[in-house]
Amino acid sequence: MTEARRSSQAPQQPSRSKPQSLSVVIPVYNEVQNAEPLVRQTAESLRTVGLPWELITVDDGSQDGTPAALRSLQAEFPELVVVQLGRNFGQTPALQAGLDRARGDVIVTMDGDLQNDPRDIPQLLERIAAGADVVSGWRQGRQDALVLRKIPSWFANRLIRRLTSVPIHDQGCSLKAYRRDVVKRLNLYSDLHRFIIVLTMGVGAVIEEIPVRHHSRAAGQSKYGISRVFKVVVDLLTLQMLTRFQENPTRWFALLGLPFLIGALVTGVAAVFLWSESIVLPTVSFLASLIFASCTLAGLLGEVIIQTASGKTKHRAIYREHGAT
Amino acid sequence: MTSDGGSSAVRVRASVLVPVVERASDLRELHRALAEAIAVVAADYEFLYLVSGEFRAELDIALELRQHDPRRIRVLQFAQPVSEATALAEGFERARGEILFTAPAYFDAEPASLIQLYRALENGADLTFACRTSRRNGPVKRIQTAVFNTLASWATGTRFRDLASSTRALRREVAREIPLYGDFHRFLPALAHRLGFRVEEVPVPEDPRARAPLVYRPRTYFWRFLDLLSIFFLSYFTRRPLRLFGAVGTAFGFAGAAILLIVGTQRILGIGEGLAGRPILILGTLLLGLGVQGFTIGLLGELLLFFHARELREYRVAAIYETEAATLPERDD
Repeated sequence: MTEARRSSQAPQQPSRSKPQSLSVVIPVYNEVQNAEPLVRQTAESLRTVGLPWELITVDDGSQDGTPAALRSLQAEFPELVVVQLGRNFGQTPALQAGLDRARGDVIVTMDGDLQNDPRDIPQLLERIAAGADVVSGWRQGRQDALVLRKIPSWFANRLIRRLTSVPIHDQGCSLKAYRRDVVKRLNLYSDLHRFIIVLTMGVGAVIEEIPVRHHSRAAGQSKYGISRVFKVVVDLLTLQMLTRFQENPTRWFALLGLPFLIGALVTGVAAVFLWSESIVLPTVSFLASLIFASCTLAGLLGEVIIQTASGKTKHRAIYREHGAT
Repeated sequence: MTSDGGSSAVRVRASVLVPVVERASDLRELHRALAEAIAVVAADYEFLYLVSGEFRAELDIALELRQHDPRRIRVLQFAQPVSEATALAEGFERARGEILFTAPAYFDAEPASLIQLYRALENGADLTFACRTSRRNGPVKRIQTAVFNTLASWATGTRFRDLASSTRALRREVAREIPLYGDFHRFLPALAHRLGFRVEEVPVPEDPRARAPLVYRPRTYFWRFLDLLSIFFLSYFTRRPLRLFGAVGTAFGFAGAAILLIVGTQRILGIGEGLAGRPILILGTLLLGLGVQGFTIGLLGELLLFFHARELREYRVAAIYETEAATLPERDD
């Protein structure tokens, strides 16, 4: 006992590596049948960890009585928090609502359908304690429909990995653990929860991936469809452009207009040398140079937008200070 | 101060906001009717007359009403002409009631409908508004209303039949959260719905004294159309401007690129005239340029949101249930 105490006073154990409390965030939507086993299994798993914890369920406007079912469990599980949203806002806003309420040093996110296994949470925590900023689950033996779920997911993962160089096989796994300061740098809106790993990588987080269990849906309805693949592609492109524009918008906007500059020069030169009666070539040349100019001007506007952002949003990269107490 | 009628605790303090904008009937008659209705549901109430700058005569009447009942009638005079939304935004800020009613300054929905609107609030709704039934209007007016409401419900993704109705009842917290400006008073129920409040439409008869103009000036229709366009954009793309601008840009860009490609291929294969004799080249360049412009505007929008709206949240929490004993300590970071 005394030995342990002495070692904890030893110089400079960076506070990053010592999580003292734990929040689990679970967005739920029409999961009345899963509510009780979900809370029970999660609580059982969390009690083995030995840290103070809280379980935050975010009800995303369920119509089947999920919030009431959850609240009735609060007597037995006082660590259970039920955040009820005004209506159905979607998975990303619901997740952000939970992250905003979370108070733990480590925040674990999970799906509300029990396809993830709460027994994997302690493993994720171990990796965080060992120094990772983000630990993502990698579903083994995935229990989902092949055509509607697995193939789109495989395709999306390949695309994301190719475009962003994120070292993760399974982006879509909801079971993930984060350090608090990583989560507090994120702002999830629209459908951005799918790119949460890309976003955390953008702030310089150390990312790990560990295999986790995956079960088929025991009860309730799946809420996914194939239409999301299209949105994934559009969002991914946006995200890529955003993270790159961040540093140098003028350059990137000008690059967008560059083909027009080339076109303007080519048609301009052709117009001069051909010296034809037609006004087609000079007109095309003028038009193209106008478009290039307006692209460049848009880039300058982008600079203004980034310049005027408040300090809180500017320095977003995670840093570790060595030698500090 | 409070003159509790001695009745049950259910009766509340209410504020009735009457924006005097666009047009007005006889305020004395209107006030009598509204006061009669409101006295049924509210233990204590106040009237706020929000008078737009150009309504001099109505201002005098409102001030005269105030002389008769200075404790219950407040008059707010705007220095310039204002829209209903601007007047209401100011009124919402100054109202003291827990329940707020809004009523137009002319006869429209039956004044007694305030009672029905209040009953619906009692049953749990956060905002209720009067859907004017039995309108004895001619076909010209009816078609206009139908077209507007169809477009509005399409633009906002809601299913209300009489969105633009000015007779409403709402809880104080709803009024506090809705961003109201410009001409968005017409979409107030849709805005509240988007924030996750419970919104209900209550069918009520129209007052026999109601007189609406048959047709408006042409520019009014143009403004309405632009309003619909903005509310459509705000309803679906506030957080994702590139999804809209990118889609439009891609469509134009593809058309332009296709034209340029065809003209270019023909030139290389030696079909037809030289490029100088192909005016369609101008169209192709224009379309492609328009497409790129769409993209740049969308990207600027995304940049703006990414850097300036980090504190903006897409959700609204209705309630948090937690046990006091076992929660982790709150932190501020």
